[in-house]
Amino acid sequence: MNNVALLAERVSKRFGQGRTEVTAVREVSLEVHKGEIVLIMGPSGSGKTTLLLMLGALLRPTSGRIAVDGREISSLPEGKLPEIRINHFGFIFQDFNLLSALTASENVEVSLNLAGVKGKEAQARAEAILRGLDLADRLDFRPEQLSGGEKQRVAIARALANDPAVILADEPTANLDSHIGHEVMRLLRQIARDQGRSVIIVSHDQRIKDIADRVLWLEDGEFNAMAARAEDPVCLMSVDIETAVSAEYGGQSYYFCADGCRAEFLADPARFVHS
Amino acid sequence: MVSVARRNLFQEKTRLLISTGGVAFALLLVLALDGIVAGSLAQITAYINNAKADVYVAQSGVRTMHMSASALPISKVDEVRRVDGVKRVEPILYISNFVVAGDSRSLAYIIGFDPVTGKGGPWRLSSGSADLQHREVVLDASAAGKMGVGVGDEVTVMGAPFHIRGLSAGTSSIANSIAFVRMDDFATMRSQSGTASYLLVWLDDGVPAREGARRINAAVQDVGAQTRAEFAHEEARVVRDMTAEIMVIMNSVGFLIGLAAAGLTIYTATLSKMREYGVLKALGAGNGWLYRLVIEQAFWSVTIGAGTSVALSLALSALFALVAPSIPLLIEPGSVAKVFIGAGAISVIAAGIPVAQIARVDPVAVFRR
Repeated sequence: MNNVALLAERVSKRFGQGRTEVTAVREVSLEVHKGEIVLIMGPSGSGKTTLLLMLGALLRPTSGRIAVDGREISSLPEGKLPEIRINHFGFIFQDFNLLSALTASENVEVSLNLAGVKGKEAQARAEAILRGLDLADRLDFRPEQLSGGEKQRVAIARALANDPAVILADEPTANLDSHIGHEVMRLLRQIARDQGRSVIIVSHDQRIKDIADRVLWLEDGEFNAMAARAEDPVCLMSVDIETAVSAEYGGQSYYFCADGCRAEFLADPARFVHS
Repeated sequence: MVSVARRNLFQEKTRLLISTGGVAFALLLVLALDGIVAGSLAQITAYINNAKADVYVAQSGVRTMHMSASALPISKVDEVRRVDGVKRVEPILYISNFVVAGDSRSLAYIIGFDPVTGKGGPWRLSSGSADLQHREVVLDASAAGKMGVGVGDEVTVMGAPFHIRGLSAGTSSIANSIAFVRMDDFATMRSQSGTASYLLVWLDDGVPAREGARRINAAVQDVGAQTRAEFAHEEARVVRDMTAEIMVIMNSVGFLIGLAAAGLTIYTATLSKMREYGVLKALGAGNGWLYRLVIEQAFWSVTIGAGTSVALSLALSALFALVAPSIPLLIEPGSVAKVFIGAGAISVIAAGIPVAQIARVDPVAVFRR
């Protein structure tokens, strides 16, 4: 039990009342361990963000129980939630959401200030985190002077500032190109592996499956089983077995992301199959 | 601690300029008006303060020079002189009248004094002399300049021709100036021989002014004796009472304009940062933290405006002294304190509406696209 960073038990969220009532999340249970990366996927409107908001103490569940680091947060009064957020969670947003008037360093420092760390200590810690994310030469840059990848790294630094147990990331790669998106994924994996933090990601980005320890499929507010997956032997992408194109070779089935990979494979299977 | 408020404020230079500029000009209105009234009061009491008598004696019941008429039998000079602790008594005559030069007329307080002692006469000359012969006058230099006359020229005072013997400085106000003539000329022309308007009294060393005034009031019938400070205070009060209502109205207008300027800019500044306030809430900022942020932003905006208004008013005061010496602008510490206290109130009120908006910011909105 000590290894559990975040626990959600039979959590539901309903909006509206009577005929207008909508159930966004229905009886969802989830146990996230320290150092684990959980990816929550699902179609638009499936309740992913609502679930993330409840897990991050931003939205109170209609029913069910949520606990972080063994402390129940779902029954806390509204006024206590900011303190829970600043001390137990780090948030990473799709739009980065850096404060435009502040430098990279100050954006991180402000998060520390909210937790009561002030002055030179806050400044030193903010700079140390940014240096650790290869942003030493961007400390005094404002968001408008940073690239998308740099902005997201600053946002990650801000999320890490108060040493949270859980990082909640909402579409962290959506506004980034493929290369930078991979870089952000690598960072998230490193944060989980090296620092033992739990990372919960809500995303449509299939690439994130590569770094996830668990992939959960949320549909109509409920977790459903994910389709079985395989690795495309040509491009090494993770593909859905049910929908992927396939080929037989040596008595075994292989699955591909597209016809191009399949054709390339069939032209010289030995190149891709290793005994 | 990172001052998000200051950073936000200085990020939008145009908005900052509008906000602080609006506040500065509104408060400048308050300061300038205060300054003009304070300067006018200083001018109106200039004679009393510069004649430097310890006690001023008037007809019983008369407390001021402005808008008053006082007549004392000249015998009162000796009566007052006999009071214990009185060192010297000098009578003066006084009337409000016009000095005329050709087509120009200038309202003036005409003071009749004894040029032999010089007591109660002009205290600073810019040219000429105060050693008046018969039918000679000392005019205020700026009033003379406006009438286009100078030393040696002839003017009409109390209906009779006088030659200008000297020009005095510091003897004009926004409403009038002071003209000095010989007391015997004054008495002859106004048929006031044997009377004085006021007695200027100097006391022996060590006798407090208040005690001297008390002794005179006790010993001499039908007179009213006041210390210099009391007499000046009463004189100023006449003007202050006359201007009190307009001052309240203009001060209120100034503060309301300042409030509108600050309120509008703080409101728009808050609106433009609403998403960022949502982000801060999502990260863990409580409402109190955000309220302080907005109030601090309003405080800085208004304080910079107030500081600018004080600097501008001091510059304006120096400028007026050069180009319009008869319109004094006296910036007093009390006015500056009033402006800063008012500015503090403006910042709190101006932050009120944005604070209410921030209270309604839903951090969940940050996650909506």
